[in-house]
Amino acid sequence: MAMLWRNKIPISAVIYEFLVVVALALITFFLWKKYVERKKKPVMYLGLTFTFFSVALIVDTIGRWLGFLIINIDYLDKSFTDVCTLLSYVFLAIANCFVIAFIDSVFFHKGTEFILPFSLFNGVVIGLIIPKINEWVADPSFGKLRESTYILYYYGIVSILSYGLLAYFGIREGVLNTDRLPKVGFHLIGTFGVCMILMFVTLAGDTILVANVTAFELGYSPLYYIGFTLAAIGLGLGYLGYIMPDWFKNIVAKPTT
Amino acid sequence: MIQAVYIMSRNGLPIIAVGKKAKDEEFGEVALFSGILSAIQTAMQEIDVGVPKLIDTKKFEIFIELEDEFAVALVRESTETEERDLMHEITAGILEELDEKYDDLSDYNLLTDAQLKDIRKLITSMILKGEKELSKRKATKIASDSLW
Repeated sequence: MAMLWRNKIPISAVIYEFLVVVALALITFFLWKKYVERKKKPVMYLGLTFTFFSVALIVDTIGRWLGFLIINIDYLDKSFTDVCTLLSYVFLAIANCFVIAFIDSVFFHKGTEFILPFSLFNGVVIGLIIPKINEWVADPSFGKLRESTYILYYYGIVSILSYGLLAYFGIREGVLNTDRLPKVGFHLIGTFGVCMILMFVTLAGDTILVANVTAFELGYSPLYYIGFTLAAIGLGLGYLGYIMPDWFKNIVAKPTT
Repeated sequence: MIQAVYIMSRNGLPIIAVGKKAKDEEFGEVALFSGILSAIQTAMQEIDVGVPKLIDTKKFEIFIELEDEFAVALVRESTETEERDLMHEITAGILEELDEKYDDLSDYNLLTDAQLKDIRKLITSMILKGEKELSKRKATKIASDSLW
């Protein structure tokens, strides 16, 4: 077990996050390709959502790699991982705003009166994180940023609300539709939302465990891995629901005998 | 979004009005609206161009369905022009339901309070059903055009 850890970071976390980043980047690429083909606003919002999601996860993964790879003893106690995680929440909060814009453009059609309040909630996340990053610059000791878990809880609630709306509208439209293609498509979009919610719940659970259980004081409880597994499943469903490749379309459109 | 549904007698007397727009109106306004609609229908019949099924103004679209004794007018904002067929379907559906359930709907005075309440409930539920269907079709069209 000791071999798998370095600088308080397990290699499994480093590899796992990297794989999720690759999957996310691929979906982002396909979404922008679709946007170039169709030039539709909902695809643009999705593209922006996944781009900021990717940037967030790339920042987080870089933090994890930095923490894992830096051998210089002077840097050992600097929690690059924590500050990168916090920075990644800034990008995730921006991604949330575009999820809301996507929901509005497809399901809600209320415009700024719907998008603006959610953007403000997410703006608060960014406003709370920036001073914490400044604090880290002044005192980058390990574990210091873990005192700001309330930001993560607040961010978690805002995200659960955002993806909850996506899950609700997606599944509702899936249930209402009788044609196979939109039925499956909407259900996949809804289930993607559910996976994202579960991911936020498990990652919040991980934060609680790490803060309260001695066995996990270095972080990376099983909930961390479950969270990223849910993200990977969600991305798979998102790929099928948002991109809907031709082979999958053919399977869905095939009449059942 | 559906703003209101007006039920009126064929000679232009209002019977019942349900919906957001109708809620803000006084009886006089409802009566005037019903009267004008009836006048338009009569005039168009007179000059032999047929009874209008849709009146499109700068603010509203008015979908009309007629029966021997009464008429149903469904009003929605003219900012939405898609799914007109569905709006006609909803209007015709309300007319059909009312015609089936109530023998004498041509006169407001012949209806009891309980009947009026039932009619309101029926129209409200059909408006909601229509709104749901409209939102479903809209979402499906947007998602199909953009993603699938």
